[in-house]
Amino acid sequence: MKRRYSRLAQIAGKDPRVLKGVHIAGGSLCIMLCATMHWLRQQPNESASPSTPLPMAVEEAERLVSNASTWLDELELQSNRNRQLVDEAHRAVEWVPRTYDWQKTMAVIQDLAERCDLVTAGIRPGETQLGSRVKIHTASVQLEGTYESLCNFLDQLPKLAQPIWASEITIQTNPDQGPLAIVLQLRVPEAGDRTISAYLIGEFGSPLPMQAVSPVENPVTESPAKGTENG
Amino acid sequence: MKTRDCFDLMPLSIHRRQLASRVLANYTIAAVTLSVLLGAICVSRWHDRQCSQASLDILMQTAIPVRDNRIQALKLQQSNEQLSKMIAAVQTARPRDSVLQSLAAVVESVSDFGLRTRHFHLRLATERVAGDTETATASMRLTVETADDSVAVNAHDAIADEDRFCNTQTVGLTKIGDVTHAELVATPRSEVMLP
Repeated sequence: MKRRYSRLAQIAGKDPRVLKGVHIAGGSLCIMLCATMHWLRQQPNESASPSTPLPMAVEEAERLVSNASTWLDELELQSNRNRQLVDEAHRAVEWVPRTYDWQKTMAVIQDLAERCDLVTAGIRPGETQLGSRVKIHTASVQLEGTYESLCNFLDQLPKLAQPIWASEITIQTNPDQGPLAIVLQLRVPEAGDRTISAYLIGEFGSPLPMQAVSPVENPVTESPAKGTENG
Repeated sequence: MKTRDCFDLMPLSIHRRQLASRVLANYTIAAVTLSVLLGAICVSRWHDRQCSQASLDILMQTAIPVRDNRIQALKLQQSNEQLSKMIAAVQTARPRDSVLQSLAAVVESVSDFGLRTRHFHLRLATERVAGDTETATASMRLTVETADDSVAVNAHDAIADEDRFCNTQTVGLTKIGDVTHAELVATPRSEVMLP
């Protein structure tokens, strides 16, 4: 190595062009090394970037880690809320009948009318409607009786084990002071298909079947008091 | 340009060789120094990179379970909101005595005027079924008879003052003999739509 070095010095000493070549080669090498160092120093982030792709951005990871306790609390809160809601859903669908039986419904309405001193002139089933919440079976009921009896009937109707809505009422008075002619439009809910109640029953429990219908034990004889309804 | 010393008896070729040796030595020193510096920078970068990778790995290992918790919490929150709405929807479908309350409200409003009621019709708003607009409307119609026109007007005002009704109108006010027939129309209000 040393001999080659001396040989190169000897050649360069004899020929000025070779010395010029040494200047060019040496200068170029130094410039190249300086440029490489400068380039490396100018790109610190790139050289420090991870070799494998990250599952998430670093900023997001830092934000998550700093809020770790918050998300843990939130998860616990939502889990507790979910358990409460599932219990609530179990209770909420208890009242919704899974099936509908027209004969039993008619018997329940007639029974209630009799206990409220109303005469049933006729009961006629109507059309079936599929709502978003429940499926509805409509019925038209013709009754005769006093205003007080009618109020008792309407008061007891939503308290029956089988849920029944009254949606429309027509009262025709008798000029001879006779009984009132009453036509009631009733709506009997059922879980049905593709309704919210059917979905909740499928997910969270089974409601009471229709045979659970029980008569009202203590018919109220007082006039209706305003404010019973929540709405 | 540097001139040669007149007492210097050393041949020119020796001078040139010495110059070439110095030049070569200088370039070698410079190149070796720069190479060592470059090597040091590379090692430093590599070390930084290893440290950075290690800290990133720790950060990711800590962040991934938190992200899973977050996703689960958000999913549960969404599911809870939906479930809550469904429960509320089913609970609002539970039967109430809305018809009785509206009937009682009309009777209480007009009972003091001594009217003779001939006909009463009340229909509450029901959930709109696709293609059926008839069942969705609410209405109240009361047909009364009275001997005095002002009584019918008072009855109209009494129903208009009732919170359960709005848009109260007297659509038919006819007098046949001594008896005035009045038809009072109003729209029942309801917070809960019947299913």
